[in-house]
Amino acid sequence: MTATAEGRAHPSPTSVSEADVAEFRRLHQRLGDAVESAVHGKRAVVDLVLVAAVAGGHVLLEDVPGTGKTTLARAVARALGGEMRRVQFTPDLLPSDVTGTTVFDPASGQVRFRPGPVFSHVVLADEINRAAAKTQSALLEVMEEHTVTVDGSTRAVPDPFLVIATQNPIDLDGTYRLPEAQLDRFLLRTSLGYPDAEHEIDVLRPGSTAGRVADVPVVASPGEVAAAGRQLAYLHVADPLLRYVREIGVAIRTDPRVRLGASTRGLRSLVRCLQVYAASQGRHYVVPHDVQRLAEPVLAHRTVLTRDALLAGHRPVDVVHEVLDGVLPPQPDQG
Amino acid sequence: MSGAGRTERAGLPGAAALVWSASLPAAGALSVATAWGGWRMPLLVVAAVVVPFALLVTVVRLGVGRWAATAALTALLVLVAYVLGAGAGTTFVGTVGDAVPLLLTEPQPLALRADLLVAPVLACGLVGIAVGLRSVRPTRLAPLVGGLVLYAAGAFLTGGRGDRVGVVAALLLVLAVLGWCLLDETGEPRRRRLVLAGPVLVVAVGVVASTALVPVSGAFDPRSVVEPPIVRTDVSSPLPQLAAWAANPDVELFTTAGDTGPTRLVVLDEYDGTQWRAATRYGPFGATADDVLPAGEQRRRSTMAVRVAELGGSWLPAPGTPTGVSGTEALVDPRTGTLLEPAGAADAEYEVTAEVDDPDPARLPGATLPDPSADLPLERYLELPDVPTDLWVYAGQVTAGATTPYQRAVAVEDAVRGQRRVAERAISGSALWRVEDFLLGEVGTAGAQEGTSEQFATAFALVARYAGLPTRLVVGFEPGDEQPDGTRVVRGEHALAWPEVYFDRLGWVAFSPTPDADLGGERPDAPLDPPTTPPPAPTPSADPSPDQVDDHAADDAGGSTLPPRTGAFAAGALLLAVPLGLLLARALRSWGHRRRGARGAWAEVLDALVLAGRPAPRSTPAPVVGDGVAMRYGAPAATRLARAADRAAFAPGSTGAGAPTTEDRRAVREVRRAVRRSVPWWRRAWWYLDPRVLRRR
Repeated sequence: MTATAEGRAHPSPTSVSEADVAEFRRLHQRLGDAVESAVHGKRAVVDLVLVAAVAGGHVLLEDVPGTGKTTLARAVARALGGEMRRVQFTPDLLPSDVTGTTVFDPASGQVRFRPGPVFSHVVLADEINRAAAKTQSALLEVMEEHTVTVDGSTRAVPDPFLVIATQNPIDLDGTYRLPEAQLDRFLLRTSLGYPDAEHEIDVLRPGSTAGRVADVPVVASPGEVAAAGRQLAYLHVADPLLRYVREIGVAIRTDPRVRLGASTRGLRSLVRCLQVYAASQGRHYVVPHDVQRLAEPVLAHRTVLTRDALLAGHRPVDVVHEVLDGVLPPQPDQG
Repeated sequence: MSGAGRTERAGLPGAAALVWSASLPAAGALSVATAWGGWRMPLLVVAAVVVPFALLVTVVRLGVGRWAATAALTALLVLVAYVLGAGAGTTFVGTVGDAVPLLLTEPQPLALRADLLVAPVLACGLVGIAVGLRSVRPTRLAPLVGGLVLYAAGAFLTGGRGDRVGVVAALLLVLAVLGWCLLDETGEPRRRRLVLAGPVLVVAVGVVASTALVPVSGAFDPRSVVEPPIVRTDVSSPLPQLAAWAANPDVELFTTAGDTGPTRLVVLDEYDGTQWRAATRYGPFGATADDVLPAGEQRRRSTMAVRVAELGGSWLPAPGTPTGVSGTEALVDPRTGTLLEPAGAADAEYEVTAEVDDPDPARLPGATLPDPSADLPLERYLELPDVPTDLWVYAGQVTAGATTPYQRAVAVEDAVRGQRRVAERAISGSALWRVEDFLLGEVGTAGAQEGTSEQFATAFALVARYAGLPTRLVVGFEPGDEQPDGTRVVRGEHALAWPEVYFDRLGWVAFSPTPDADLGGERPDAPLDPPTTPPPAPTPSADPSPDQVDDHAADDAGGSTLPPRTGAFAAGALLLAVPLGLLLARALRSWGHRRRGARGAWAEVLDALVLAGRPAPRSTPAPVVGDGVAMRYGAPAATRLARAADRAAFAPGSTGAGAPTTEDRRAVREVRRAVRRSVPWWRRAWWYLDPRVLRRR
C-alpha cells in the first residue's frame, strides 16, 4: 500500500504482496466459514459468490426453489456486515419499486427521494425473470453503473454492491427471459443445487443451524471488502495466462455452434475473477487451473448458441468445456 | 463343462501362441539346414520340429496326459530315426554315436544321406517335443530356448558360416519379441506394446550386429579338434606338366563359364632347392588348418562353372580359394585352397564358388609385410635352400634401390622379366642350378636367359624370398578363348606359372614376371623413390581391426566384391550408436531440466509419467496432475512440485531459471522412484533409454 496526501491508502500496481494475499485469504476464509454455517455443503458456490462480491460483480443463481438461494444471499450480506434487501420480482413490479422514487413529504412540505432496495450492500433479486423487461432493465442498469438516476439526480449505491439474482430454470410460464446482452452484466452464473446426502441429512436434523441466517456472524465490514477488491485488481496475471484467456474466448466465439460468445468485457470479467480467486487460494499469482475453474461460471452465461445447436441439444456449458479441452493451457514446464 | 474343465481350458495357449511357439524352434532349425544347402533340408528340419510339436499339442488337447504323450511321441521319433538310419546300412546306435564327428568332418554342403540326416532330424524332433511340452507355461521362454539350441547347433555345424550375416538370428529375435509383446496377457493395448517393442528390438539387433566388433580370429572351430578324413596324393607338383601343355598349345583342357579371370590349378609353397611341392593332404570343405594365412581385407566372390576336357590329373581348376563346390565330391587343401578330385578330374563338371584377394591397386604401393610380432606362419613362404652366392649377389643388386616391400616385388618382377624370352622348348625344371642358368647364364648357353613360366616364376620366388617377401607359386591358366556362347575354352597355351607375394591386410598379390603373360587386373606403377608419406605401420593383428574401414569394399558392395566384416561392423556400430545416442539425448534432456529450477523438476515428473506409459494430458493443469500422481503412485511430493512449478512459471518476478533446490531434487527422485516402481520390470530396464520422452515438448 502507498499513502496519498489525503492519508488514504491506495494500492499501487505492484503492491499485492504475499502478505496482502495471506491477509485476504484469512478474510475470505472467515467469510466463507460464516456463510457456510447457514448454507451447508456448498462451499464452492459460497466461495464463488464471495469472489464476485469482492470483485464488484453480481451473481445469477439459476436454481429450483428451496435450494437455499435466499439463505445464501442473506448469509453473505450478514457476513459482510452490510445491509441486505430482498426484491421479489413479479410482473407488476415497477422500476421505481427497485430503484426508489421521489415522494412529497407532507410533514416537511418537500419532495424527497425514497431509496429503493438497490440501496443496500446485498440485493437479492428473487426470480428476476418474472418482472417485466422494463423493471429488469432498471436493475441491470444499476448493476452496471452502480448509480441510480431519478428526476435528474444521480445517487451512488453502497460499496460493495452485490446483486444476487435468482431465476427458476424449469417453470418458465409467464416469465420474461433476460436479454442475452444483459446477462453480461452478471459477473458469474452458478447454481446451488441440492446438497449431497450427508449435508441434506444435516440440514434435516432437528436443531441444525442450516438456514439460520441470524446466527451467521458478522466477520467483516463492507469497507474492508471493498478495499480488498480494489487492491486485488493489481494482482499479477502472467502474459501466457492472458493469452490463454483470450484463446478460450476466441475459441468460443468461433465455435460454429455459438451465435454470440463472450465479449472483451466478459473476458476482462474473467480476469478480474481470476485475481480474486487466486488470492482466495492464498496465491499472489494466477495459474491455469484457476482459469479452468472459473471459465464455466463466468463464460457459459455469456455464450449464446445458434438455434440449430440448441435444437441439437447442445448447451453453452458443454461448449465451454469442450473449448477448455481443446485449448491447451500454458504449462509450467514449457518456455 | 465343469468349472475345473473351464479352468484347464483357460490355461491352454491359444492358436496364435501355439504357432508362435512352433515358429521359434523352426526358425532355429533353419540354421541347422544351412549345412546342407538347397531347399529340401530346410523343409525337412522344419517338418521335424513342427510335426512332433503339433502332434503333442493335439493329443494333449484331446485329453491324453502330457507326459504319456511325450513318451509315446519320443519313442515314435526314435523309431523314425531308426528306420532312417537302417537305410544307411549302419546301426542306429552307431549312426547316432558317430553323428557329431561325422557331421563335422563331412564336406559341406552336406549330402542328403540317411546317416547324415538321422541326428539333425532326431534333434529337431526332440526340441519340438520339448517346446510343445512347455508351451503351456506363461513365461514363454521354452520356444526361444528351443530355437536358440537349434541355432547354436547349426552354428556349431557350419562354423558360423551358415548364418554369416545373422538373418536367422535376427528372425529369432524378431519372432521372440513380437510374441512376447503380442501374446503377453497384460492390460496394455497391443499397438502400444508393439510401439514399445520397436526400440527394444533395435537394441537387441544392435547387440547381435555388434558381435561384428568382437575379434573372431581365435573363434572356436570344431573342425580344429576333429581330424577330418585325409586323402593323400602322390603327385606333388604339376610343373612338369607345363612343358607338355606348352608343347600342345591347342589341346582343349577345360571350359569355363562365369568368372573371366585366370584359374588356379595348384598352389606350390614348398621349395627344397630341387623342386616345388604342393600339398599332399586334402580334406573336406570346412576342414581347417593351423598354418593358414589370413585372407586379405578386400576380396571378391567368384563363381565359375567348369567342364573338364583333356586336363588330366586330379586337381580341379578354380578361380580362387574355393569355398564350395557342387557337382563333384572334391576335397580341398585348407592352406592353399587347391582343389582335388580323388577320382580324377577327367570329364568332371562342377560349379565352384571361390574367394579371391582383390586389393585396391591404390593400396599396393603402401603395402607392408606382416609384423613379426603377429606370429603368422610365414616361414614356409620365406624358406630358401642353400642358394649359390651368385644368386645372392644378383638378388641383392635387384632389390638395392627399393625401399618398400611392394617396390622390392616390382623390382624383382622387372629384373626377372628383363630381356629374357619365353622358350616353349627350353630346359624345364625348378632346381637351383636351372634358375642360376636362367638368370645368370651367358646368352647362347643352354637354358640361359630363356625359359618357360616355370623358370620365370621360380626365379621371381627365389629372389623375392631372398628380399624377405613371403612368396609362393601358382600353377594355373590364363583366361581362355571366349566362345560365342560366353564360355571360355582353356587350352594348353594358356597354362602358366606365376608367383604371388603376401602383403599385410592385402593377402596374396599375383605378379607376372613372365613376358606377355596375362593375369588380368590392374597394377599401379611402383615409384622407385620412397613415397612422400610413409606406408602405414603394420598392425600386429592377423585380422583387420574394427577401425580399418574398407572404403573399396564399401564402394563395391553392390557388385561382386565381398564386403569383409566392414559392413557388419558398420551396421553394428550404427545400431550401437542408437542406444548410446538415446542415452546421451536423455542425459542432455535431464541436464537441461536441472538448469530450470522447479519448472525443470516438474518436467522430470512429466517425463516419468511418459516413461510409465501414462502421460499427463496437456490440457490438464499441473496441480491436477500433481494430485493425481500423488494419489496414484503414493508420491505426495508431486503435489508440492506442481505448485512450485506453477509458482515459478506464473508468479511475478520469477523466471523459473536456476538450479532446483535440494528439496526439489529430492522430491523429483521420490516421485520418479514411485512411478518407476509401478511399471513392469522390462520397462524399468528400458527406463533410461526410452526415447518417448524426447517427443514430449
